[in-house]
Amino acid sequence: MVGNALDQCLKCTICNTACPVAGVDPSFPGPKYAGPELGRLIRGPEPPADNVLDYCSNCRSCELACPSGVPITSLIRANKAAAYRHKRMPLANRLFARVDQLGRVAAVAAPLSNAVARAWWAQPVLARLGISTGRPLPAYHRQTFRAWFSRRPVRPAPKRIAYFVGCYANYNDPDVAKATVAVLEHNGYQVLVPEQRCCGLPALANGDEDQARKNAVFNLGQFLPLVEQGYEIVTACPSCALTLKRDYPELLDNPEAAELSRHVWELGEFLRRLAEEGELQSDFGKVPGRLAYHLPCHTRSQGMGEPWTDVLGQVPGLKVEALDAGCCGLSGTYGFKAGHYETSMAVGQRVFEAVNSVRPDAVVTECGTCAMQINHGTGVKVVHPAILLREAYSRRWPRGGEDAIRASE
Amino acid sequence: METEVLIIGGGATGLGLAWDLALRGINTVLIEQGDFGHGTSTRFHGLLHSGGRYAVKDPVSAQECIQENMTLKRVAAPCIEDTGGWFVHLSTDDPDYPGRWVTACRKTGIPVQERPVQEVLDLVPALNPAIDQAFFVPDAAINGFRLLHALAYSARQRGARLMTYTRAVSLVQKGGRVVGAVTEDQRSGQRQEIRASLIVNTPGPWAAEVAAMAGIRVGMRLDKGSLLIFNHRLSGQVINRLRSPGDADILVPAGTVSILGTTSVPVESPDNPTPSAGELLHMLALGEELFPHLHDYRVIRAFAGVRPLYDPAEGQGSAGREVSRTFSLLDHAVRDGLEGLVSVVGGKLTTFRLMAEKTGDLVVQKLGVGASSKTAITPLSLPERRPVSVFMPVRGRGDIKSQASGMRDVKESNQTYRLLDNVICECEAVTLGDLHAALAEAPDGDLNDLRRRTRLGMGTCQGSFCSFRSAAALCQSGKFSVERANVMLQQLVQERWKGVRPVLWGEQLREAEFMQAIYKRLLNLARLDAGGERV
Ligand SMILES: Cc1cc2nc3c(=O)[nH]c(=O)nc-3n(C[C@H](O)[C@H](O)[C@H](O)COP(=O)(O)OP(=O)(O)OC[C@H]3O[C@@H](n4cnc5c(N)ncnc54)[C@H](O)[C@@H]3O)c2cc1C
Ligand code: SF4
Ligand code: SF4
Repeated sequence: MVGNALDQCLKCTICNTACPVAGVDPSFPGPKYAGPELGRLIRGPEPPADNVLDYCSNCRSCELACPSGVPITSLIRANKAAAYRHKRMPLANRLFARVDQLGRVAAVAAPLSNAVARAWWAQPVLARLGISTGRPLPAYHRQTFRAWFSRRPVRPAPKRIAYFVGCYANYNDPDVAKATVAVLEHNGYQVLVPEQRCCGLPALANGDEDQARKNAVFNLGQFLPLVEQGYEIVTACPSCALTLKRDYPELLDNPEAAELSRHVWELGEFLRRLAEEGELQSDFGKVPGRLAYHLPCHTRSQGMGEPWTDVLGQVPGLKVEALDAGCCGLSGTYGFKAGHYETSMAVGQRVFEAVNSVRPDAVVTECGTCAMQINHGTGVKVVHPAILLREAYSRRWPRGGEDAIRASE
Repeated sequence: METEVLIIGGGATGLGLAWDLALRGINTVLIEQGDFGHGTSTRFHGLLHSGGRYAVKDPVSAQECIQENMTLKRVAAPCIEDTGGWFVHLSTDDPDYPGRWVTACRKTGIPVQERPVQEVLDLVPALNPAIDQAFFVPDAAINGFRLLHALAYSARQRGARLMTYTRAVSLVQKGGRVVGAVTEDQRSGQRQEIRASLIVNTPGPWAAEVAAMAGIRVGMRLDKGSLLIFNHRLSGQVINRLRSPGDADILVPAGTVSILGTTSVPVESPDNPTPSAGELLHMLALGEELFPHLHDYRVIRAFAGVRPLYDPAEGQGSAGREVSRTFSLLDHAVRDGLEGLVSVVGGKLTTFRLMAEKTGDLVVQKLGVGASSKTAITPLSLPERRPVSVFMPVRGRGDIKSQASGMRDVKESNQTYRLLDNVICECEAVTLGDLHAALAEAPDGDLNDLRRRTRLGMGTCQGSFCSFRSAAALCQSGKFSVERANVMLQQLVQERWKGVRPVLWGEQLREAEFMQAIYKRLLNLARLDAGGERV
């Protein structure tokens, strides 16, 4: 598989021109070298001893640009995994490969853990761990989404969704998950939240393929039986969606993973399909506001256009302008690592400038980490589109907003 | 010019002899008509034989191979990747052969271990699972380019004078004795005479031609072998098909690529061997018996070499693979009554050192000096690669970052400098620094000479990018005029194209179209200002 992928590359260098990191940091030789080329070199007798792999933020922009269909980012990750088979993985990589375990610990200790992460005396410790002290770490909530959801009565409905929550919504921004549930329920779906682990993307991006595979196997075991019962899988996180759709079949290389991937929907993608089929509840109330939309790289690389632009366009009063300024630079855990902070901010510069020139009431984007980066870089408030939709639905019923309001109690 | 010994031919045999004689303290000059490696010693399969291939039919060769295999792993380590190798038996091949082969290996002293078939299948997933026996042998991969440069470098360090692009055009005789050679500089056309007490003829497949300059007949059986280069390593170890030696039954990992070969076709001339489409297709079909999905893998290039087989019976005896692979030392004084000339013919690259040692022994005997060979105990050395010295001061935080991008930050008395050692050829990770270092070794070299020393342009894209980059970089650094750089660019692209042309299918066909788009249409290569030179 990797072998044939190495053979597809024409060396045309187009990917290098699309890479946001190579664009701001000349020390990174770019995706062509880090992917297909290093793939050949590390199989050779003198694998180059360098750390170019750590530069890649896993945004997948290069893959979109490649005219030869080379799975560049997958190659880069495979190279990373091969490199770490021979040398010790940096501590920060190991930590970030396990964001769900990190989340479980931090959530129990919240709000103390948040205070600790912000405290001045913790900064040297973070630095020692290889974590950037330049930006705030995401806050953790004491009650995770899944804990909240499990206490909530089941709401039977004819159509069914299995919701893949993802770590960020579960630990760091439960309101996004609550809004997702509200929107789906309002559209007549019964939402099930099966037992689940981190999708595995942070592990993959940090070179820990084994960990990623373990997570994939677990999640497959949880979700595939539901698919067989007619459930569709929805997630409001574009990176989770991408991982379940693209990486599971690659990592596990079995027909089950391929089958699962055919039933995974990013929330916006799912709602857009409902709209196309005339099944999206359109009882939106008016939400006046000027928003700027940031398209996350991981939505872009799913090759499905901009579903949220289409869906939000249906909300009366809402003016959504596309920023169209490329990668925000944070890319999951990438921008949290020491040494990547500057690169990450430099990549995001175009986005920040675009936001500053549009001067919107808020930025809207479906990716939790893009939201953090844009907020950090501009100070402008960033919302998840599911929250906007919930808001729109609830405004239709000034007295309480029925379903929607209840869902987020 | 005068010397004790003049060696004609700078392949592994000639350079090996120069190294041997230099260690014995004998004054030596070597001339080579092209660059080192112009002949067979780089147009070969890259296998440091364990001897297994010859064990059944040619036990003398097999014995020489295993002996030299072990010696070279000691003294030429930087040129060898000790991969190990497998002989795998397909259930459809002669079932009696493995038994005979194992016995023959035991007799010739080749260590063979039978291993579970699953072991080799795990290591080399591309292999045909219909293998029923697998044996491990001490085969290895040897880098011909690097070997020649290590030999040249080491011999020069010991005082040998080596001249490239210098061709012997005639031999000078006086009183029934060869006393010298007239040489011609292949670039300037200038001629000179080199006088020597003894001339050793090591021109590989050109041996008959050079001997004819002295009016002597040397019977050569020239045998072309073609090889296919795959884009990446299909196997980390040498794979031999265990059967009576035939075509396309060996795959050797060579650096980042793998090489499948070979064929055996009689040819008339040693010059410009080219693989034919028929040979390549025949090899792919045979190779698929060993690697069932071979057609899915990308072939980036094909080439051919000419085996310098010696045929004392002059065509009356056997042909091709039947001719022994052992070597012969022809003392023309004894053989033809002509003093002052010795020819070395036949052999393998694996046995070059032994050939050089035996020849050296004859040389000292003839010269009447008493030094013995030290090549079996003296490790070869390679020049150290120095980083290029293009410095640029860095503001602010500097740190050592990527070796691959070639940008390294160096701190020197309070100032951080960024070393601009950019990657010129990404496919083979060759940096500008590597190019400059190679240029220091071959100051009047062209881009093809630098290619042989660095692997520039030898990877997937076959020079599509590094050709113009390297020409531009060397021109920019003031080492070459624009016209010279243009000529070198044309030469390099032509040379790369030569090897791509026979394999225009699949991904490499797309690559070739891309290459043409860059050089023909974008750069208008044919019309670049070459200052009057024609390529
Ligand atoms: C297809 C193929 C695959 C092979 N695979 C293997 C293998 O895997 N392992 C192995 O051990 N062996 C292998 N061999 C055999 C091996 O390559 C040769 O035996 C060996 O390289 C011969 O070296 P040489 O120095 O004798 O000849 P060469 O390398 O040919 O050197 C002779 C040199 O003399 C120069 N010359 C000729 N005429 C003149 C002149 N008039 N003036 C000045 N210089 C002159 C030539 O330019 C040339 O560079 C292979 C051979 C072939 C053809
Ligand atoms: S990976 Fe794709 S875009 Fe990049 S050099 Fe190769 S073929 Fe071109
Ligand atoms: S995934 Fe993104 S950061 Fe990584 S090489 Fe590709 S374009 Fe660059």
